Order: sequence, then C-alpha cells, then structure tokens
Amino acid sequence: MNPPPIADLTDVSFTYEDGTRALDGVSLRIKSGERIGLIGENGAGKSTLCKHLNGLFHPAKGKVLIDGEDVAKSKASHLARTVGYLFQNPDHQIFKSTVYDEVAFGPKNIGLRDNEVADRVERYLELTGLSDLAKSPPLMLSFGLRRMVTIASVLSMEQRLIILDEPTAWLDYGQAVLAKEAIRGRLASGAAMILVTHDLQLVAEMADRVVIMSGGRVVADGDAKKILSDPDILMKYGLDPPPLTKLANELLSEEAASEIFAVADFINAVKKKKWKASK
Amino acid sequence: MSLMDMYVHRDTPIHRLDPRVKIILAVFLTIFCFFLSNILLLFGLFLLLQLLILSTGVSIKRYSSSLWLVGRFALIFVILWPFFDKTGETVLLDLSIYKVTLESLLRSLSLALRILVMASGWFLLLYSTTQSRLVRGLVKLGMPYDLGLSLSIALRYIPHFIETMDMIKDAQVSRGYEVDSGGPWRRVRNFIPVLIPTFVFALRTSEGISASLVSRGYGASPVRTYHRDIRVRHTDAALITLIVVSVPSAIILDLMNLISI
Ligand SMILES: Nc1ncnc2c1ncn2[C@@H]1O[C@H](COP(=O)(O)OP(=O)(O)O)[C@@H](O)[C@H]1O
Ligand SMILES: [Mg+2]
Repeated sequence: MNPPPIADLTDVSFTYEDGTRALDGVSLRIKSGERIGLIGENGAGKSTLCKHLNGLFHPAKGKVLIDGEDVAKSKASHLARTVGYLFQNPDHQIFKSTVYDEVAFGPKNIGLRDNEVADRVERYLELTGLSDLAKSPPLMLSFGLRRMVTIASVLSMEQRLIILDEPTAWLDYGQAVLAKEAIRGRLASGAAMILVTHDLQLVAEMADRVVIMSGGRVVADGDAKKILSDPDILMKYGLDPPPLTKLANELLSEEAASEIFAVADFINAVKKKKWKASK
Repeated sequence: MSLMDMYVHRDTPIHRLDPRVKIILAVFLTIFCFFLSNILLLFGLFLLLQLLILSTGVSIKRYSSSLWLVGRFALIFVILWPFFDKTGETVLLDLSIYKVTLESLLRSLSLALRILVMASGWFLLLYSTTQSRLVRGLVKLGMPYDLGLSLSIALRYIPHFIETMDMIKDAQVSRGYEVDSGGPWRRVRNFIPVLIPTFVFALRTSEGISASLVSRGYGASPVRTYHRDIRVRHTDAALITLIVVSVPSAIILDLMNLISI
C-alpha cells in the first residue's frame, strides 16, 4: 500500500470575516518528497491556502488531511511537528536574545530532548553559515542575516512538509546560495516543499511541480518544466516568465524551447543550432 | 489590504469639510457618549454616522472589517454584562449566575452603541482627512505641532499594529508554540514571544517614520509654512455651531430625562 499523501485537500473553500472569498473549491494532493512551486498574482489565495496546511485556518467547507489526519481536529501548535512554515517577515518571529536560542525554540517546542536540540541547532547554524554568530543577538543582525536565522529555525524542526514564503527575498547572492543548499538538504532527506514566490527562476531551480492559483482557485497544476516553459499560460495569470524562458521562446524552436531551464541548457541548444524557423 | 493609511482618496462633501469640523465632531461624540444613554438616540446617531461614513466612498469590505475590530469589544460587553448586572424586572433568561433582564439588556446595548458611535466619529474623520489636513486642523485648534503629528501618525498605525500582532502570533504557533493554554498567569507569560516582536516592530516602525520625516526636512526650521492652509467656509462654520450647540443640549435633555424610551 502507498503511504498516505503528506497533504490532501478536497474541495476547500474559505471566506474571511469581511466576506472576501479567498479559496474557492481547491483540491490538491501533495505526496511525500514533492517539490511544489506555488505561484500566482498577489491576492490569488496562496497564503490563505498555506495557512490551511498547518492548521492556522480551518476550512469553512471541504477537508484538509495532513499525513492522513484531519486538520480540523488538531491544533496548529501540534501540526508544527509535521508542517513547517517560513513566513515572509523574519521580524514576526525573532524574540530570543541569542541566535542559538532563537533556532532552538522550535525544536524545544516539539519536545526534542536537550542533546538532540543542541545537535540540530549546531547543524543548521553550520548549514546557514551562522555558527560564528550563535551568541549574537539576532535582532541586531542585518535583514538578510535575520532571514537566515529564521530559515535555520524552521529547517531545524525537520518537518516532513515545509512551506517557504519567499525564502530568498532580500538575501545577497552568497546567502541565497547557502539558503538554497540548506533547503535542498531537507528535500534530499524526503521532505516535501511548497515554495511560494514571485521569482520563477527560483521555482525553476527548486521545484518539480508547479501549481498556479488565481482568484482562489487552482488554475494550473503540473510538471514544472512544462508550465515554466509556456509563456502563454504564465502571462495569462499575470506572471512574468523567467528571462531565459522568454529568450528561448523568441529564439529557439518550440521543441528546444520547452527544454530550457538553466543557462547551460540554453548554451547547449545554441551550440546545436536549434533556432526558431524564420517566418 | 493595507491598513497603513485609512484615508480614502475621494472628493466628497465630507472630504471637503474643514478638518476642524470633523475633529470637533469626533471629540464631541466621544464626550457625548460618556453622558448619553438613550438607546433610540444612540441608535439613530449610529445609523446617521454609518450613512456619512459610507458617503466618503470607503469600500464596505474595508469599513466592515475596521468596524468589526471595535464591534468585537462591543459584543464582549453585551455578552459579559449579565454576569455583573442582574437588576431589572422583566427576566428574559435566568441561569442564576447569568441572568438577563430586559432592562440590563438595554443597558448593555446602549453601552455597546456608545462604543460604536464613538468609534464611528473617529472613522469618519480618518477616512476623509489626509494626514496633513488632520495635523493642520489639530494645530489650529491649539495643539502643539509635534504632538499633533505624533497623534495623527499613531491613530493611523493602530490597525496596522493589531494586524501585525496577529501575524506574529501565527508565526510563533507555527513553530509549535502554544499561546492559548494554561491558567491566566501562564497565558500572560505565554504572550512574551508575541509581545517582544510586536514591541520591536513598533520601535522599528517609529524609527522608520522619524528617519523619513527628518530626511524630508522635519524640524529643519523653527517656523513652519504650509503648502495649503485650511480656511473655515460658511458651511463649516454652520456645522461647527450645530455640533457645539446640539450635542450639549442633547446631553442636558437626556440628563433631565426629557427624552425617555
Ligand atoms: N486577514 C484578511 N482579511 C480579509 N481579507 C484577507 C485577509 N488576508 C487576505 N485577504 C484577502 O484574501 C485574498 C487572498 O489573499 P492571500 O491568500 O494573502 O493571497 P496571496 O498570498 O496569493 O497574495 C485577497 O483578496 C486578500 O485581499
Ligand atoms: Mg501572500
């Protein structure tokens, strides 16, 4: 028998107190280890959807199962063992007086033993390049470093599903590389990911499946390469295709363009002269 | 939804009123609400204010969520009231410690309406007055400029703080933290991981505001000039007179029990 999907949403609808219908019949099944890029215009319902996955919201209609368990019957603080959520603004969570304690907060909350907490904190500080800052007050760090602290503090909980809301925004190049490596480490050990971002190049690098939301609905769901190489569908939902996709679709044959996700792919196709037939 | 600035960009008769008219109205309504208990009068006033507020062009969606922030408190009052006030003849519900009488229900409703009327006056002011006109009005009414500016900034940021606090709570709960558990003392202590980031947010915000004020020349010269000064027109003068005369007389009539239900 297959293991149950890590997250299973059936026909979920949600309306805010003020009457805004933010989700309208969303169904989505996420298998263990899947890497999803969740994209869509501002206001499409991405954050509202994610808050249903860790129990911050309960669906007004429909059902959300996490690891086979009905979310409506458990608390967000309990679901935190299974689902991690990196929020956009690091300042919404930092409150401890040292980086070390800040990262240890989550693992302690989910009841890990002291030696295991220490082990995790040290490992994730190392991975995010923060080991030397372990004793520094996190609030005094630069915005990029504060973001790195929160990445470490979510990853160190080692949940089976991690939701990342713009994890690399405001990071400098070196920090972004480290952050992506640390996230890939978690994915390599089987965690599933939902990456919410406006940066489609990041989606191309990190995701194998893409879900597009618009007006509270899932309007496209499929293979990342297929969707990201199709400028028409992206633009239809107000998304800006990665520069490489635009370039490939302008210059290369349709077939070749659908294979371009990294600069190396593009160079290869050019070397093999897969140009678009001139009209 | 950005709550940073409550001002609604429109040009309506309410917008064109001198800011002093609206400030005086809000202040008088606030005072009025401390004295007045006549439920019909309060209700009529409440309805009138809602019409005025909607005429500023604020979207119903936005206004209802702001009103609900205040409405929550009003509702809690109505729900908790029967625990403390068991007087009155006409018993509607009696669970010994929770006894609802018609009289106490009316009293709690009038209290709730007072809160809503009070808030509505300020909503009307903030939706239809730009920050610069608000400060200008306050200063012309005798408030020191620095204080006027601080107050107007603070008023506009309150909803933003509430929103941020909710987001911070979500972030900590997502890290496996239980905010709502244990006895009362535990709950207060539980709030520390929410309070510290909120406090830091407030500091950073005010730092940001003051930096942006200074970088735009705030305090550079001891004498301020104003790009657009405000002037009282005939309608404004008439309205101010109306408010200043009618509100105290309503209170006096009410205190003398001349209008009763
Ligand atoms: N707390 C809230 N109260 C009322 N409406 C909200 C709230 N949060 C979001 N919305 C509305 O719900 C819709 C979906 O928002 P959201 O899930 O934040 O979208 P996204 O994350 O894709 O930008 C939008 O129309 C937004 O204005
Ligand atoms: Mg969002």
